Amino acid sequence: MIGSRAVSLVASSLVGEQQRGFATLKDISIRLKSVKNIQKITKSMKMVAAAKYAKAERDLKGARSYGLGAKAFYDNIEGAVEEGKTIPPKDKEVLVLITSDRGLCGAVHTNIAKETKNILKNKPESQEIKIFCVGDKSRLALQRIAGQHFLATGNDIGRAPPTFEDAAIVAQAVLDSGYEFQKGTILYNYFKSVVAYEPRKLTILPLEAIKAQENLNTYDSVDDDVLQSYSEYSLAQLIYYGMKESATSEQSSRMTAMDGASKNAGEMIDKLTLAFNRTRQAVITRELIEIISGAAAV
Amino acid sequence: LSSHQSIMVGWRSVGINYVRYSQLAAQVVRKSVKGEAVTKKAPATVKITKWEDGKPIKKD
Repeated sequence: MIGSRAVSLVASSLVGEQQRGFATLKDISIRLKSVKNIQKITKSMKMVAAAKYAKAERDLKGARSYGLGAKAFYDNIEGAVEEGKTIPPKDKEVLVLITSDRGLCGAVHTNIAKETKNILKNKPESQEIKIFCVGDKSRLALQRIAGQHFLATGNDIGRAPPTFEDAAIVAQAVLDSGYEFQKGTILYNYFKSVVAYEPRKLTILPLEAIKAQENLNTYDSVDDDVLQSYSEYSLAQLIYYGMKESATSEQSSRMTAMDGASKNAGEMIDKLTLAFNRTRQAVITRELIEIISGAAAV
Repeated sequence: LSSHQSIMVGWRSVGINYVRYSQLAAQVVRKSVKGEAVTKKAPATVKITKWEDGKPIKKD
């Protein structure tokens, strides 16, 4: 009884293996089909990203000269930092992270998150850093480890190219947050070329900090009112600039990422096709053997 | 210069900053422009959520 069960078990496992042999053919064709579909998706995503990238790069030309103009003011009043000297950290800083809601674009967002983690890790004990996340990706990357430092987050960005209105809303939110920072840093992805980007920082200073700078006297006839307005406005300016740079980096990075994904999918398709054909051949051969040996046995 | 300054103080005393001021100014300019100069403005999409003690503050 037990013996016959064992035999039947062995027999069924053999049948199972045979069925698996047959099923692999189907399995492979299902896999093949799904990989082909994924490749179609990544290819079209690449095309979309390429079109968006072209537009973003065109936009960036104007935005860059605009942004660098705003940046020049802060560079001038802060003065060139001498080699080996570091600026003493301020007690209260705000960090504005420029990312977007959308993923599948390589390491653009993780770069920003990594840089932020670095800053938080190396900050002195006494320093307070608040984080303002623009875009869901930086929020998701940081909310578990740095959620208690969050000042505010902004989402619903990244579908369309960023506008000055978006930047103004963010700047307004930073100013209205009630957090009296002594120094602000905007962290964004600087667009170097189609294949290269790097996280960079822009410094923003509130009125008090600007007034404390010695180099301010390079600028003529500025009173408190003008400076106050300018510091507010240049916050929006620099955020806008950061958004444009980040958006361009993101699109170019997405293009590269999707190109890579399509290539990898192509490789997978080649391998699967080969496996598929081999299995088919094997199945045919085995069926022939079965028929022939069956006929010979008669 | 004095009238210019009083305008500045005017909008600041009602509690708006330059960012808001320039937003409003842009709105007014856009509304008053006529004819071919009217440009379509891409709408802003970003939405802000404030956070406190590691938790977002839900808006009612």
